[in-house]
Amino acid sequence: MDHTNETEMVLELKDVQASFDDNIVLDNVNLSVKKNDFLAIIGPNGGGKTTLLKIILGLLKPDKGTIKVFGKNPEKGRSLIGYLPQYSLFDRDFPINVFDVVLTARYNRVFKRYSDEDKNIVTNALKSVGMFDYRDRQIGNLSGGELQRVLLARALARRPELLILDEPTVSIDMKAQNSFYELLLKIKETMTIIIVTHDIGVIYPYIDKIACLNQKIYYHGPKEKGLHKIEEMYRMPVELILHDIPHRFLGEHE
Amino acid sequence: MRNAIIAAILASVVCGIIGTYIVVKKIVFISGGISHASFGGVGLGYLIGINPLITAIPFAVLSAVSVGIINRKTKINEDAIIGVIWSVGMALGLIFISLKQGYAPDLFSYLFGSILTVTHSDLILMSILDVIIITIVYLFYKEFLSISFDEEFSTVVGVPTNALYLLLLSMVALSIIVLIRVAGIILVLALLTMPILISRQFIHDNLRNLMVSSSIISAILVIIGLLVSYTLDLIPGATIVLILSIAFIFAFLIKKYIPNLS
Ligand SMILES: Nc1ncnc2c1ncn2[C@@H]1O[C@H](COP(=O)(O)OP(=O)(O)O)[C@@H](O)[C@H]1O
Ligand SMILES: [Mg+2]
Repeated sequence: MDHTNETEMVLELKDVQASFDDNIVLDNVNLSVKKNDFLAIIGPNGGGKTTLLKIILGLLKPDKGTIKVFGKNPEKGRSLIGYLPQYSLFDRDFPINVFDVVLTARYNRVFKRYSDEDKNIVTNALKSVGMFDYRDRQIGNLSGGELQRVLLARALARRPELLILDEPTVSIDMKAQNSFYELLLKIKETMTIIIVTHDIGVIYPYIDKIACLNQKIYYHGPKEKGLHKIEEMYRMPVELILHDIPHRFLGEHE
Repeated sequence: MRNAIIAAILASVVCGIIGTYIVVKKIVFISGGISHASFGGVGLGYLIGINPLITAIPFAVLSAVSVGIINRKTKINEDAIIGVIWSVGMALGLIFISLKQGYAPDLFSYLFGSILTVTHSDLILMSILDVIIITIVYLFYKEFLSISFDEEFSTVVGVPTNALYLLLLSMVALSIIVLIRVAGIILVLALLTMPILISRQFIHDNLRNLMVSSSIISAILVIIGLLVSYTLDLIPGATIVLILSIAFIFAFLIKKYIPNLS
């Protein structure tokens, strides 16, 4: 594209309200994400984080408000999004192998077969997450960490400009978590990322911005200024939340 | 007997293909509902004097599509809708039959199957439906695979999931029509599930292989059932179901005690 790329809007939500039955889950949410931002959304369980992501993806409809994804409505804009859901509800015994799972991300339209290029993209996506050797495995024959990598590869195989990750490391052990975040660190250079996570301590060094969400957006902006909000939300001092971060990171941008 | 064997093969092809979707997408109960709802069409066929398999087609397809739409567009409990179309279809069928004066001689055969009395025109109808089902599955294989595996993700990547779900349910409806002559409305679910459960003991990672092997297993077992019922003079539909269950138990035990096979 052109030189205005750096400030291009990837995502813009205005006055979004959402509810299930009569319970308001999101209230007056405003959020904007620029190209190459790395945004972490944090907030308590039930705070509406997953709902917000599903609205961005056009999987749920808001009661009111406007959502622009790459300047379009979610149904159109989501073709540029790679998505790793919080709960993958699929059957672990489903008769499909790793390669074919990732290949489903290359869907184009009816009557169009997956091309050789699609297969190359899948191969590269699997290699980039270190799971190419597992391509023939049945999808249930993977550990939690391996499965998350494959699902990350599936998101990446979209060749997305925006990557949305919903609590990607919850079900996996510390070692797998760390290598997952190392992967993200590599990807971060090439695309915009939104991640929902509770591991604010682990991810803090990597991210640029924070949004604190609990029905409303309590804070949205550069991560350093958001720290005291996190303190309020988690009701513990910043030093404890960020216990495993070397101090040099905290002051890095100040 | 020749007609019966051809019918067994035509039925087994759709069993393997559509049965695989029914099992992996976990739509067994919906399929049961569609099957019973088609009894309304069987009754109508009796009443107006045309082949009940033909009148059963619109009943099966319409009930499939309505369950699908109600399921996607309203918050009504899916189980409840299935229960409703299940019994309404049966009730309609009974009313149609009772409107026609006199005894319905081979009603039983539509409920429990009667593969030995399959007619030439039944075979033609079954072949046409087989061709339709195979063509649709061939054309939409990647979409059906995607929505069966992960519907939410499919939506995000642009698969028209709702329309394809309705199309898949319609294929289930057509496959039930193919199977009514073999196993009857009440027993079709056995044919649509057990061959798949058997081959699933040995095939884990590929939908297409599961379809092909289920079709072959189904054809072998249905023909065995047919021969057994013929020699022992038993009801064919029920005998086929029992043969399928025995085979399933064997497959399960083989898998369990000879694990290297898979
Ligand atoms: N499908 C649903 N039907 C009814 N309520 C829901 C549904 N999904 C989420 N909720 C409710 O919406 C609220 C926000 O949920 P969610 O967005 O999953 O929160 P988070 O991801 O922050 O944990 C919760 O109170 C949850 O119970
Ligand atoms: Mg959530």
